[in-house]
Amino acid sequence: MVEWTDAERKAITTLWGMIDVGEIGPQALTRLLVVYPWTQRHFGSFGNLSTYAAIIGNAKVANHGKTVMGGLETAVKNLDNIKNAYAKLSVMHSEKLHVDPDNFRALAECISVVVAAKFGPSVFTPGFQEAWQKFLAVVVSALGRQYH
Amino acid sequence: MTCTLVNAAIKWSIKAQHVCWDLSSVGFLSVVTMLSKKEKKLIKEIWERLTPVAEDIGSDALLRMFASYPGTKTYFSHLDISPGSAHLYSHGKKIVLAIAEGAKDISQLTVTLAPLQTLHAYQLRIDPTNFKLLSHCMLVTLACYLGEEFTPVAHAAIDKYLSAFAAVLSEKYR
Repeated sequence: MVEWTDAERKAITTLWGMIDVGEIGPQALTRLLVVYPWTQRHFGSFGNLSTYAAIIGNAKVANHGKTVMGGLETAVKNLDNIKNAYAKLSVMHSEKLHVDPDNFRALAECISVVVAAKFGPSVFTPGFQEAWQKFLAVVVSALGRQYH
Repeated sequence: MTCTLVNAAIKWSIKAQHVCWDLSSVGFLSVVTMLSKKEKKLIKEIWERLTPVAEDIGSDALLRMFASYPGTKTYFSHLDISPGSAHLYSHGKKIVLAIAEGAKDISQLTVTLAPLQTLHAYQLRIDPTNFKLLSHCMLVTLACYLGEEFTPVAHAAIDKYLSAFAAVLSEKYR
């Protein structure tokens, strides 16, 4: 089980309280597709992703970004039981969608960059970044747990 | 018998040299070819802008790395790396200035970084995995300070540049 310090719990819930999933989610998924273009392989049904403008203007990207970011709510509410909370989602990503789990790590990095750009250095301090990235790393590990 | 062995050894070493040569050129070629003209210009502009605040940017990225990846602190046991320390500022500045210097002419990156390659590979012997950790923290720092200006396009360009920078630094390791 993951151990959280009080400061980490506070940083995660504080940050989560400030995040608008409809804003951060689409931005993070956009960055994933632009910065790591090979991740586009999983989104064949999304239509045109061939250029930056196409990705930015793609409604399916925006919608899915919002869904993914919203999915973090489960983790925030189950900080002490993240692995079990994501068991079903992990099975779906491995057995049905066949997503290379390294993609989750890449998306987590994009989420951190977007959150940093949104809130700036006075909110997203090194301490907050540590807590936030630990949180995302636990989610990433939980999502990769059902792969075999 | 001995002669055959020696010949084989010579052949192998020639082959090995070729392999080494091929590998070392991968980093250099990829740096040159994977960035478009537009991206090179963007990268140069961003780092030029950051040069006057190199101390702040560099020390912030280092602090973030130490906080999120505590294992990286082991390389700095001879320095005072607490927030606001003189060592942190001077080392942060050094890093940002080197990145900015390399960005001036990316086609010459292996030449510009030659002294740093030797330093990291033979003296400091920093596990190259750490370059990636610092790169990520540098991206977060840039996002913090540039805000909306740190667009997905700028993010992609800087990410590619920093990974190329790290690849060139790792070239001499083996």
